[in-house]
Amino acid sequence: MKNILLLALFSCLTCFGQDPEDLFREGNIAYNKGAYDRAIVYYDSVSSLGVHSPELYFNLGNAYYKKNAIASSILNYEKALLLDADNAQLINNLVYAQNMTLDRFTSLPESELKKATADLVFLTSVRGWSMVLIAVFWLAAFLFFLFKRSNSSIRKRLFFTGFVISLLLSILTVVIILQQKNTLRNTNPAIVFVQSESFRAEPNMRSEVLLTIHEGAKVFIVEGVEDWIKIKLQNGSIGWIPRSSVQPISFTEE
Amino acid sequence: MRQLLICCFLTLVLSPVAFAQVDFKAQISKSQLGINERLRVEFSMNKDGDNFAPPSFDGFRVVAGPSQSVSNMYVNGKRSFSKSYTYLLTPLKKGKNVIGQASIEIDGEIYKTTPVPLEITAAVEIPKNPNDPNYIASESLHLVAALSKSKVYINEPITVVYKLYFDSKVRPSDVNPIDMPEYNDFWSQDIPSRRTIEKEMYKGKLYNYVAWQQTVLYPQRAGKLPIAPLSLDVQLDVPTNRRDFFGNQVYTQVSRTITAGKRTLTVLPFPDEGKPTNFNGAVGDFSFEVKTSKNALNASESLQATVEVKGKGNLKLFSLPEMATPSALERYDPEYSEQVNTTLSGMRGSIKNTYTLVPQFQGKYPIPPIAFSYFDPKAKTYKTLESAELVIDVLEGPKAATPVVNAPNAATVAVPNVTGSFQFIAQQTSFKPIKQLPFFGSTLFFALLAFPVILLLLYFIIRSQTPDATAIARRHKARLVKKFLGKAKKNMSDASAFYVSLEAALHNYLKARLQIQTSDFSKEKMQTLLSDKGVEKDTVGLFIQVLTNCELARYAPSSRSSMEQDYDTAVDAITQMDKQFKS
Repeated sequence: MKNILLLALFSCLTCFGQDPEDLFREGNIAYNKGAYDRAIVYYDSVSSLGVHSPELYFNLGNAYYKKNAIASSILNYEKALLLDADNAQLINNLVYAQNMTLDRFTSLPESELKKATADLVFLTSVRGWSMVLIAVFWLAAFLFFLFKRSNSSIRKRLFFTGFVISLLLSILTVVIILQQKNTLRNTNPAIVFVQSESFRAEPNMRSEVLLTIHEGAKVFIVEGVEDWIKIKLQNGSIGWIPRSSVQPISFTEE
Repeated sequence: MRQLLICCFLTLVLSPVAFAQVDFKAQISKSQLGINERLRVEFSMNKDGDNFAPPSFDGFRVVAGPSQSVSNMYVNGKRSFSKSYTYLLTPLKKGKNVIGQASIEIDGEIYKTTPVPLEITAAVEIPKNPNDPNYIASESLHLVAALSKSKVYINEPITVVYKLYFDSKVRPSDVNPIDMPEYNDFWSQDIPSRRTIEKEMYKGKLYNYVAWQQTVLYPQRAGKLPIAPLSLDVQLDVPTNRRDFFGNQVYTQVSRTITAGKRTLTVLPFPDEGKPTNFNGAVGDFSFEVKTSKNALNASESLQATVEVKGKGNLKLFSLPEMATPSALERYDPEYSEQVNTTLSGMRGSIKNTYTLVPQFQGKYPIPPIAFSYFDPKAKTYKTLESAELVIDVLEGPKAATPVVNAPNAATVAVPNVTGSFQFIAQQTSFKPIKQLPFFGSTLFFALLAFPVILLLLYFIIRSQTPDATAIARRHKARLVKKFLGKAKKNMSDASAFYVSLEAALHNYLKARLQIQTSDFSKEKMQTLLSDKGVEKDTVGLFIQVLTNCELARYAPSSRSSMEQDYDTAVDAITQMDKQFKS
């Protein structure tokens, strides 16, 4: 029965125009009526058109939350956070979803310096930093030009100092970009999708079970061996779980 | 005769010596005996004494005795005396024991026997002896350990009933357990027996029997487990052939120790096939339930969640599965309660854990399904029961706490102070393509980076090929000044020489430029000539003024500052004129 409904819905969708804004609006209407499954289908068809937005993932997370699907809900909120890290509503609802999870790991304390560095590195995205780099580099070139053109020694000195500083700034920006890219590559966050999973010391079923992690827990994938992945928990513990039990927080899967 | 005399003499001489050696000793019939056997202890002496004190016989029961016997013997006229006290004992417990010291006073001296060690072993089979006076008793009294099954699984209940069979012609009057069975490797519970006399066939004969002791056993390990036998000491009234005055049979009392045979039980291990991972040793037939007292409540109110297992099986021998709750729910340690009745067929009842939960924040809190697995010995399979998922809805209360965000890319997330209720979906959005090509490292990126560098390079290349006009002018001016005004500058210290050389320089310049000797020209002619050559009026004015100054200086002395001014004016005039000649 449900399948037939979904099928009917899909055929409906194809009748409608493939406009993501329309689909998004239809999803919102379905959500407001309490038809969360239908809303999810609408929202998913938006992302299947190859476009997305933080609001789309936020609404998807809400729909899954209403359905008590903890893991899917958290996954979508986290995806939204990747696109829009400062959305207060988003963080608020993410907390609601996190309250439904069984695990609460106390995160490792970080040194102030490390925190400040991370804050700086993640002040904006790689794209943003690239823009900054270009701006600073152009400024450096312009200052160099002025330095060459000017006659008075005081101006020359001023422009040369400005040139050196902006050149150093652009080098710093490159370092920041590389650092951010490196951090992003090394931290592959993922959400546990199975009800409960044994967190093991080795990638096989015989090894010792260190602890049990539950649905909705956020983990970081370190590396993989066959059907197993090495993960890092938020409290810093490292162990192995089957690859199939998590879904990575990234857009490349779709 | 003479021999006789010698003999008498020897007797007289030696006999006091012989009589002086008092011999008082204890002898036992066996040094090792079963608990169901009897022991005869004889204290014998070779000289009569008084005040015989037997030992206390700890661990024994005196069945008969003391019986005294005295014998005097004359062998070849030699008298040998012997007196003995004999006891018949039954051991009461197994293990090593000692027959203590007995004492006697002979000729005013106290003599003691040495203690005799002996060992009491488990009950032994006594060979049948039809001549034994206890034979009737032994034939009409049996103790049997009846097992409900001979093969069980670990933790499957099994009942041992010790049945005391006795013939209807004997009457047991007193029964005392001597050796209680020990159930190592079993969880055991005695079921009190009412000990009523019932009838049953045993070995083809109808016997009365009493279920003396009933025990429920739960074997705790696999293998062949022995069950140590029970030993009972039974006082029996056995009929004799004699009749009393009224023609009733006269009974005599016989004491007998009987033992149930040693039994072995085969305990099967759990099958490995299909063993659930959460199996924790529950065996039987159960039902499983998880429930909460409320499904919707306000924060900081409490609710009870119970995990209950009901049914038949080893309820006391396994632990209930743990309940997992969201970490945002405050959970207290469970309260365990059990209502279990143990009967001959095993344990039956329910056990439950009651958790008290206090939600802290508004929201939904799911309690995930709990699975409980047990082994069903009848079906010989594992069974798993799973509870339904429960969701606790917290309607009112403080809003959610601060989020747990410590992902590196979420490090910048300033935890906002919006601790509101669950937010509704967003209505407005603007879509971006999912597959955005990375800007950093793209061709555009490098092009933008390279652009200013290329611009700068181009600028410098062009500038090096087409030299700057001012630089050229500067060089030209320097050349002109060096060529024409060098002499005037040298003569700066001497005013008249300076003006002479300056005037000459100006004329030289015009000569070099126009190939005309102008030193004889009037100022007016010079003015028109220069104007014809395209020199501007101002410049011409400057030039003429310098020449006029030079002439004036011949007659009037001039200051150094005016000299410098005139020199500068001359330089300006020459360079300007040089430019204007060209055009």
